[in-house]
Amino acid sequence: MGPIARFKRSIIQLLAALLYNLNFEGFATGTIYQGDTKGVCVPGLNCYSCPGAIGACPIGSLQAALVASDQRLPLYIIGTILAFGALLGRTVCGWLCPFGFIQDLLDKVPLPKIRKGAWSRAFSWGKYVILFGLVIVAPIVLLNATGIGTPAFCAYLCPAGTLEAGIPLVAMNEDLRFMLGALFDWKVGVLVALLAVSLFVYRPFCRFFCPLGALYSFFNRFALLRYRVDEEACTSCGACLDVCKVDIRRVSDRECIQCGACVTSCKTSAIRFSLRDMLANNLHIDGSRRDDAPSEREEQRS
Amino acid sequence: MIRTARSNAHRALGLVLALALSLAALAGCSAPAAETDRGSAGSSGSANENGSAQAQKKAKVEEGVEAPDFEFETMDGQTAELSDYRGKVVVLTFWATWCGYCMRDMPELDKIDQAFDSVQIVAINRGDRNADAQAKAEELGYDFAWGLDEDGAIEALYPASGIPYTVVIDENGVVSTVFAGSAQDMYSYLEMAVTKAGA
Amino acid sequence: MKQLAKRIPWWLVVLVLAAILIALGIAQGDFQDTLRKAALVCYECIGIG
Repeated sequence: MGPIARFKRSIIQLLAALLYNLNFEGFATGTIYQGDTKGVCVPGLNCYSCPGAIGACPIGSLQAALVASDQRLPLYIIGTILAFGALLGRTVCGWLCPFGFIQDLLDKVPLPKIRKGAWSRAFSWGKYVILFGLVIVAPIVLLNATGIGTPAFCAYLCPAGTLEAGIPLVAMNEDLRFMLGALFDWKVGVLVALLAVSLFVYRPFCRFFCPLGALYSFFNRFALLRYRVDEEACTSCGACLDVCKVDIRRVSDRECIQCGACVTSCKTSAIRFSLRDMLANNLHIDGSRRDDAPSEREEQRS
Repeated sequence: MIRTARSNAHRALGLVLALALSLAALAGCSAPAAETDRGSAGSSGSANENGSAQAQKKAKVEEGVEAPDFEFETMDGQTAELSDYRGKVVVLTFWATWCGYCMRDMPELDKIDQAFDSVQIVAINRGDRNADAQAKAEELGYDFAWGLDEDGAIEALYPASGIPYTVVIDENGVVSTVFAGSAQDMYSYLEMAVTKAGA
Repeated sequence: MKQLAKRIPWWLVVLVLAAILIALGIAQGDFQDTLRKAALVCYECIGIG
């Protein structure tokens, strides 16, 4: 991706983070927003206990619904996640997630970087383990065993919650501090470890731990807004795979966070964002190439 | 090069959209802030406006302040008032069935209730459907004054960011201690609080 | 007509399904549930403890 395009993505990431957290007053008073928009999920991982948050976290809401005593299927939350997936897939990860943005910023720090390899491809399964184990199974098991369903991912792992909600609330409310014990120590430890690792490894949370990314990954191959490879223009040179910092096997597969870093690596300009292509009349809305789009040979001539 | 006809027009459109979004976001600061004034009075959108307006004029619930009186619906459809329990040390707690610490507190509150004759637990539900709250109260079976707050009127008087939220009130209806949250050894905190309140 | 059927993309199918689920969810009170739980800090749920 050219520097201007990268800058554009950072701007959108920043705007998204601001948009999810418009309740600036919450940061001043140490309280949370309690208005109606809290019933609407934002697409990225943004804890709804963050003082600034004006919307709900999809994973938090999903967990809260799963631990509810009547154990009804949370149709509204599932529908919301399906909608975000169908429209955006993991474009959310690359463009609309504040915690992803923070890892991107840490990646910019000039320290030696540990490149991807077989190890990272193996660890990439971790997010599915966490989705299945911590987000879905653990709360249901705990609910049936103890009568109380703890939202295991939020309570024991989520670093976004610790960074955006746990730490600010405790910092601004002295009377909460009597609660602090082993759990808080553990969560702060998890957060610090992930932030530290992010200095050397690209987006470790997104790749290895994030259950929301795991969910959206199932939509990545067919979402409306994503990077697409023009199969006619592609020469299978593998330049995109080399330049990519995550463990894709193909552009826009389950691991792809739609960051667009591969675009400028392609000598035949085969990688393009779907929206741009549709607007430029090269693609139909379903991804098939238009009959009147210029063929590859014509393009190389011009 | 792939045809990007009209790309200049599209770039202009993109820029305009980005600017519009930024302006909307900045303008939106005042909207949520205004709502927060309503929201911080505790109501989650369904409470009456009068309650919120009054709450803003009332003093913050803290030590030394008179605990705002309220009427509440009991689990079997009757009504009771907080002031019914004047003369006792009241442990007023706000809880939900999905709140782990609230549920952890319940047996501790019962122990306090058993240990001190002059203590009355008033447990008002916050954040559940009535049916779920009633079912849980019945399941727990403690001899508390269980209450519902469907319209959020009580929440408007006792606003809090989170639950559990516990207010210990002395025999004269004056707030003695406020707990936001709950610690692992909550019994000892509650014991200190009710003793301080004169139990 | 057949061409139209071939052209219906997966994202649209899923989006329509999502809209139905969202509508059904709101009808069964899920929006209020989400709102209630997001508007109250459950301290255990965010790891304060």
